Amino acid sequence: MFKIKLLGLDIYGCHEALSRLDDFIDRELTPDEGRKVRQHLKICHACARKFAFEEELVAGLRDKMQHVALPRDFDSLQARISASLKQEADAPPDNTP
Amino acid sequence: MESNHPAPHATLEATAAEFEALLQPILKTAYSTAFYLSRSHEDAEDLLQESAVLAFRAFEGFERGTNFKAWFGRVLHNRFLERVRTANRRPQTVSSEGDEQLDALYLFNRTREAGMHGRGKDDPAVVLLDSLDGAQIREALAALPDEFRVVATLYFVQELGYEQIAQVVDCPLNTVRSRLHRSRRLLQKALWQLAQERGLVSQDEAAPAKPTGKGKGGRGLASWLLMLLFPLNAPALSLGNGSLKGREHRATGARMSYHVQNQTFRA
Repeated sequence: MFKIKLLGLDIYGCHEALSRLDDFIDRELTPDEGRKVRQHLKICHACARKFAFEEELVAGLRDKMQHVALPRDFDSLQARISASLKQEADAPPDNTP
Repeated sequence: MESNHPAPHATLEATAAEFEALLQPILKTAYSTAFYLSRSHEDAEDLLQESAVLAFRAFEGFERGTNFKAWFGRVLHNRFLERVRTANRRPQTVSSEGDEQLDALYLFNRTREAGMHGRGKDDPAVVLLDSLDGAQIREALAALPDEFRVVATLYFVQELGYEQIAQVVDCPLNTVRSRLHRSRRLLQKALWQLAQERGLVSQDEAAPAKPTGKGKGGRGLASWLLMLLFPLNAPALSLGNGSLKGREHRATGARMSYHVQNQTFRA
């Protein structure tokens, strides 16, 4: 799709939008770029599907990865960490690496 | 700010309490991070415990009020690198020039080829992820070379932004950005391979087959002819179509409607 001018405004074609997919997902586009991408997605269903897929994938991965099964003894790990820290506080080492 | 004199015991205990108060809320996330960086729960536990001690020793260097999660992440990452070094593992490196044909829409295209998109169907991204459990997701992560797995983990698990990730891994922003984008593509590839192994997609459909040119549903000329000759038995003569449940024939040509059309994309 070619970059077109609509009502004097620059509009993104599919190529401009898709080349910004990753940054869009990361919310790292400039406000102007973001607006132009969203405008394109409003009128292009094909790109809208692609963007939606990537968004779902990223959100789903985030969700799944954050709910990794903790080991059965996570509480005891916490206790061990607390104990280690207490040990450090009680007998701080000299600054050997 | 902090004096360099050795702190009296009581003050050190207070510092430990302060440190723990900061560590406690992020501990599970930190464990998840360690889990994905490491190869086992045991390694993850060791990594986390060692990092906690190291972070505590360096706690004076932490500027109060700033992002403790990112700061601790850096300690964790450094310790991870150190453990990799001492384990005599050569860190995997992947040339950033390689594999450029791995497109950003890898999984979109594979799932589309497999017929997972279509009106009335559940979201293919959701279907795919739902079919994989946590251990398999970790497998997909583990398939990535270290530096890609690190940024992916920080992004997904710790939800750090580019700048924070750059602070943790001590790399320029653009490196983080390109590494993160590439890691997502590598992850898509790994996820798809896992899905294939798991039988979510039959091998026939998984192969990016060129259409036979006759039927949009991938039917060859032979099967169409047979259907003409034996119309009553047509269903029994379907050839080579995969076992994917609920597959919709792509010959409908109807406009696919997706809930996403009404979705607003956040800036």
